[in-house]
Amino acid sequence: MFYNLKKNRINAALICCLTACILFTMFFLSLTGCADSQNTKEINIAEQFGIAYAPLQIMREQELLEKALPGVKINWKQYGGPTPIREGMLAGEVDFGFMGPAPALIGIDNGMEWKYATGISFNQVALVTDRPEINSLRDFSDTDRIAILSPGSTQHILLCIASNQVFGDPNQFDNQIVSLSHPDAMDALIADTEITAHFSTPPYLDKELAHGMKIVTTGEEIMGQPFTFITGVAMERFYEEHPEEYDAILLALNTAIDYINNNMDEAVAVLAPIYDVEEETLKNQMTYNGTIYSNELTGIDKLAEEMYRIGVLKNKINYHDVVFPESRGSNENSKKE
Amino acid sequence: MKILKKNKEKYIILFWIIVLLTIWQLAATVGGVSGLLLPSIGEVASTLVDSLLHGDLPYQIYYSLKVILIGISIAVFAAILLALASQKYMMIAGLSKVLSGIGHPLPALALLPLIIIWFGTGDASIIAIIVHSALWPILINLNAGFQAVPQIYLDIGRNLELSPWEIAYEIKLKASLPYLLSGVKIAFARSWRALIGAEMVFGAIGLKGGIGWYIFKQRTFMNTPGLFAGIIVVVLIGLFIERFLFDYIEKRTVQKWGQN
Repeated sequence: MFYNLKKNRINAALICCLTACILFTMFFLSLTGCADSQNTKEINIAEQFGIAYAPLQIMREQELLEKALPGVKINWKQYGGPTPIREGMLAGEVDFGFMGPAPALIGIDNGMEWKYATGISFNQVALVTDRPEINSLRDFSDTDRIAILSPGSTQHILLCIASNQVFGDPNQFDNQIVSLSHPDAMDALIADTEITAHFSTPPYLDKELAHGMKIVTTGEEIMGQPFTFITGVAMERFYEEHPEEYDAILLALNTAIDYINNNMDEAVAVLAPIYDVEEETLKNQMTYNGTIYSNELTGIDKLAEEMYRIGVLKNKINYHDVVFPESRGSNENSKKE
Repeated sequence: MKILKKNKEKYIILFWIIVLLTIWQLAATVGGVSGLLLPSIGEVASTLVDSLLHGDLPYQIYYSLKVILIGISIAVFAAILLALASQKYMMIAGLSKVLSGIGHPLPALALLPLIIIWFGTGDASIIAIIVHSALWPILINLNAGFQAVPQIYLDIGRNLELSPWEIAYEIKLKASLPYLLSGVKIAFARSWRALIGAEMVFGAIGLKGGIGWYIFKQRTFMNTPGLFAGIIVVVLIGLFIERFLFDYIEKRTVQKWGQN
């Protein structure tokens, strides 16, 4: 009896300990969301790969931000897609991120507290196929596979918008998409695998065209207008709590964009070793038809409208509400208010 | 007494499940954790129901289970052939040792880029990954099982003038059933993980993809409740198969025949 009693006590103690441990873990888990930037001496910027992000490379190489913010440590992180950047920003590890306009809108729609701060570049984006008989979306059979960067990427959204325009069904190709990185998709297309088409951007786009492939449709055709292809987004908290750093980032970025536009040859010389390509090739890519470096934000409201129409966004999103005031610019969209 | 203990265990398990769910719900509602990090149980449940009723989730579950079944069946068949041949020919025994030595410690995900080059991104690739995950544990277990068959069984077989194939099937294979079953159990655990991992790392494989693709899509569209729903489905299916299906098969075969 005594033995049992003792055992019960031990058990009760054990259970209490375990519960305490779990509660403790939960408490720390709940803190992870707010970890970060009470420390102003560090800024974390997240970008991706490719020449669409060239101004950021210039910014980095010429230490524009470090010069503007002496004593502040700038951490550059490179990610393979918008999703990990969003997750990093949600977890408080990233203050300022660069990605396509669609993933940023999807975040806003789901309650991410971030807004567009700037554009970086316009880029040609096009659906490329290696099959001569395919001239429009209608010519794809249901066994053809289309490579996109990832579901929810701007390329995927463009494909959904196009399929809505042609078939009245944005999900027409849902079961035919394959998620592949640009180089993998290009290799798969050239190797003549089951991949029929690739939603591509330069430099992969021009390489594919050089292989005799052809464009089925372009982003501009689908949207009916040019649009910013890479945007910079910042957490609202960063904007409010660190206005000085926020302004410095935008200023440095604008300097980098101007530098590229005014000194293309010098910029190419700086960037060629970074991208590990010949200067000649890089210059062709950076001046390729459709690649424009600019801080302008264009086409966001049109994209939001289309994304709402095809059901990717649950809410109607107004351009004015999703761009920081200084960045709204003078384009037609801001006249709405 | 034994039944009583089992009942008690059930209550304890239930108790902990309720505690964990309560903590979850409290953290999500009054704990001030952002819904983007930790959605409430209600949100997750309604997303799960919605995906089950209106989405592709039932098909994706069916697809995941189907490819696993195909993959494991191929692996079992190949393992039996290899193990039987190993019993008969020294050369094959050496080969199967070398192959399983290379294959067993190699995670399927490490092979995935190679498999995509060889088989493309279709069904063939995913089945190849599952066969790779399942074959080696089954083969190793089956070899051990064959080694452990008591000599006297084999002697009786010879006494009855059974042919070598009859000895292989009636005696060796049947006597090593417990080994085969535990091999298949490990094989399932490994291929279930490999399947989900492969789909999440490399995207849709197969038409609508499986449950891993579901989770991946929830992630890219920032649907945190959907992420939880996917994880719950993965846990439930894993639990169901490991705890109930294999238990049932064991009770019906190995235990019933007094082999364990």
